[in-house]
Amino acid sequence: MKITIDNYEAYILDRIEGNLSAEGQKELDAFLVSHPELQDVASQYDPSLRLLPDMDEVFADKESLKRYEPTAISYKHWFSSHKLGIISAAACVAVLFGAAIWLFNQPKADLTIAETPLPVVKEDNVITKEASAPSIAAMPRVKKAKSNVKTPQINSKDSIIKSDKLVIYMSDKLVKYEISTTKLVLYHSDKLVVYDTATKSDLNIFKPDDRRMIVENISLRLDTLQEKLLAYVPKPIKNLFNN
Amino acid sequence: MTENDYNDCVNEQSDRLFRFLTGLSADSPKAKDVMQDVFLRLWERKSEVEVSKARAWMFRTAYNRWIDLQRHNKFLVGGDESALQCQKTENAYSDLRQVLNEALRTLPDVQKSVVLLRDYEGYSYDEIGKILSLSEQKVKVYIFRARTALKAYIGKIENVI
Repeated sequence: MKITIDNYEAYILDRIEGNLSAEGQKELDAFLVSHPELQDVASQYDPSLRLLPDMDEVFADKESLKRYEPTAISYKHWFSSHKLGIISAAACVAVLFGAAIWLFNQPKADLTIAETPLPVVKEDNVITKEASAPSIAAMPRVKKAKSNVKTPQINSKDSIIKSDKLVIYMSDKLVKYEISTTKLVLYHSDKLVVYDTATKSDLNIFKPDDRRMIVENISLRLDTLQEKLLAYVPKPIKNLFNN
Repeated sequence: MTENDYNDCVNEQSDRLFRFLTGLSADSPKAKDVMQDVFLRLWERKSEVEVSKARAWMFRTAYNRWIDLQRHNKFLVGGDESALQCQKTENAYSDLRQVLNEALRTLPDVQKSVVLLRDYEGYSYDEIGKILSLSEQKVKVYIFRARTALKAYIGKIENVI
């Protein structure tokens, strides 16, 4: 190949690295004689100049680059390798099924309407067994008395029902109701707790942990006309107001 | 190339490729983007890429991807020549490697690539030509020009090593 102004550096490089034939050397010398402005080019090349990689510079997140094919496992292989798990799962299903049948056959709880006046709130904002006064046992029991109560609509979860003084807030299983503008009452299976809404000012004060205070098998109804809280509770109800 | 071959490539080549790309770009996030892209393409084409040629394939793909990205950026912002000039003068250099890295950034992409593949990876001129789709003679020309430019940038040095 003929030496030109576009490739002469390759020949100079070959000569510096000892890879240029005698014939090539002659051609290069002739070329440089004919181009005196390029005579010093070779001296500008430093063969010892080398870039060194920084070995501490690494790609740290190699795992993000790794990939795996979806694994296809034959049914037989899968069954043999998961035999114990399958048997365990089947046993669990059988136990759960049996428990469900047993529960289904239990006599239904006899709902009692406990008509109670609004509880008195103590200074510590917690209604104790004594403070909540009305013994459930002493409450008048009215069976199938729904027609006597103006039942508010508490049909959908997360519904808020308001009256002048009373608010009921139903959120999934958590039942909250507000008795007045300053007191918020949370009702759960064995306590009646009153919070002062002066410090907990809205209905969103309940954190996820509060969901532990779930009212099981209790439904609340509000008589907005008489400002009475009606708690529909199942038997037994002896622990309802216990600490 | 199997799944295991691919993941071996990740273990063995990702650091090399990353250094090559950071040498090209001096921009770690961009280098990581190109890395992800290269390995994704390798995974998609693993049935076509031979294990013995995977390394060269990755460097070629990384270079092409980088060039595409540069063209796209130049189209968007009109190139970054001025930025390079600023880098050239504003820093007080603490060591020779840093000086060389700064000097490297002033080179055209193709010159950067040939000198990185030669010095970092030890590829022959012929191999570099195949990776970058250049003739061997053209590779030598670019190597010569790159080293001459580096020397002119940093001044006279006896030995970088």
